[in-house]
Amino acid sequence: MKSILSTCAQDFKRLLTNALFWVLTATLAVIVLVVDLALPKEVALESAQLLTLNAPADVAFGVPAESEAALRDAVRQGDAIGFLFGEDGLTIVNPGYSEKSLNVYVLELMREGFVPVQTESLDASAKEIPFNLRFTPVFICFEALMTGFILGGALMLAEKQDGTVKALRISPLGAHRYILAKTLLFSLIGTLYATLICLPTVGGSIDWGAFLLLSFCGTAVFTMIGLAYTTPFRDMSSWFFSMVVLLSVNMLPTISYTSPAFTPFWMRLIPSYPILMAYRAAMFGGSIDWGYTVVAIAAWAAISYLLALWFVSKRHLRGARV
Amino acid sequence: MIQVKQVFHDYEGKGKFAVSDISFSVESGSIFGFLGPSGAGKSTIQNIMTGLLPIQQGEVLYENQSVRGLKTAFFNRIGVSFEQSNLYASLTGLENLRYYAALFSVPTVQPMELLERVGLREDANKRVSHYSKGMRQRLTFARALLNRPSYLFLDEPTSGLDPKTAVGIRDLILEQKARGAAVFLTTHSMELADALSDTVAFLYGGVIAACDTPEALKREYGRRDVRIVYRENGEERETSIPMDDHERLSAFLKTADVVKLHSQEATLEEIFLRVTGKELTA
Repeated sequence: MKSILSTCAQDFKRLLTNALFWVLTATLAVIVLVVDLALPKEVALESAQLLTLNAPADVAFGVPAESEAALRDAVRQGDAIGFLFGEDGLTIVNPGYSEKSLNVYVLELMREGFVPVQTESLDASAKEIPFNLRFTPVFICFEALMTGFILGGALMLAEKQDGTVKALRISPLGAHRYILAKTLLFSLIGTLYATLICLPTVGGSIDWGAFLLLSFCGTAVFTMIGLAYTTPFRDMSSWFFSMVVLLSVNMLPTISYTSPAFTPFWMRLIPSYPILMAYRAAMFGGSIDWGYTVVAIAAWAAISYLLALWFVSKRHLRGARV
Repeated sequence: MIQVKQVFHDYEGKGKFAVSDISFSVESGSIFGFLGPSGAGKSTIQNIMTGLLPIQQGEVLYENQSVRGLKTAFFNRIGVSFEQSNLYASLTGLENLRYYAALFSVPTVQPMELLERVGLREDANKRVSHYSKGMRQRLTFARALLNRPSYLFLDEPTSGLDPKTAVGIRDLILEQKARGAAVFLTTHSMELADALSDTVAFLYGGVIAACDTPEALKREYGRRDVRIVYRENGEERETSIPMDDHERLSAFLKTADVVKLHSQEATLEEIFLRVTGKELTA
């Protein structure tokens, strides 16, 4: 244990002189500022001009257009949406919005009285998530939790470049303790970063037990994957570019996060998927399958440890014993 | 005791051996000087002995235990001072030693005590990135002594050091020997090897060309000369006559106006030249 804690402490000192560490820390601050100051809590309809043509008398929104051609010109030229009322029903003329955006507009119009609509949620723990906070779990998952992947890899490459890995190979540290030391350090840092993003944005009324556990275990998984992944690389440039590809794949669950209807089986196999979904439940409520979450994270922890152990003992610390 | 038995190593696996049929042993409480020019295969052997390179052929035994089956705990008993100082540049000298000291599960020497011995006490809290090459070399050497190793591997330990510091390092090496450590000294400095080694091996072209005590090598391959400074026509001149050429020596001493007489022993450098036919250069 002494060697693990000492390695943690010295690695932390090394981190303080690493530029990437400060880049990630600055990114954390930027995320908090963007969520708190740059993003609105709600996306308002006022930003788009609503034009109507042949609207029934009871329609109480929008500005009547002079003609269909004038309506189409206005939509083409600016941020306007046209509503053409005809015998066949309503046609929404838009400058190329996605189906999803249009649905939001239509829903808001309905709420404003065009068609009376009421909603009822059967999940009592679910609450409406303000627009600016919706992506906080995503930011935490792909910034705070990735510190171990990125910085652990950077420390490994530095050990290769300055030759200190050779001294570690003939020390009694061993691959097992090497992995544990780095994983412990970055899990603590990742948990701290996640908390620092969550507190000033979402606040303190969350499920802290689940949040802290997710942050610690999630960072541990990504740290060990990072250690295994970085081992074959010799220099920062080739590692960095290939790492971006891997991290992009790892970010795919964001699609399912924003569009839950799209959750194919393979998406569930990506390690960030269960963590991201569990973060949403821990921070904003709502029910998820915790059994699946626990099993998935535990499985990834075991897989990533075995991968890291194999790569580190056979390649990075080759010659040293487990 | 360390035993190296018929070790071969082929980096590319194409039958071109970097080292061939290397056998020797290093007794506890002795210094084994491993001499040879750059590229002779010294580092290959040291890396095989320390487990950094896997053994392809042959055997390395520590107290009759194969290096192939060594456990992590064994590395508590080994110390290696690399020629290229490999230290954490962003940490201080003291932090470097504390870091490595914590890796051992055996009692270690106080880092500050070692820094004092290698003349780095005043620079203990300076970052290694601000150290000179010689300071790094001394810190690497100090690191190798942290765990009071039973097996100490030193690769060019005095290379690039000023004479006063080099003497201090030599004293420390002799202390390790007196403590009972088996010291494996890799160097191309014949002077250092001659001053410290109980046994020396000449490695050339990946094979051991000669291996014995320095005295025995000098007896076998060396030629003891008498260097004579004499006066002739008002000028001082110098000549060397083999000590065992009694007739010539006697005749010269009878006729010449001798100013000075010195007995002269062959150096390891000269012996290396005779054994391998090549000069020993770095």
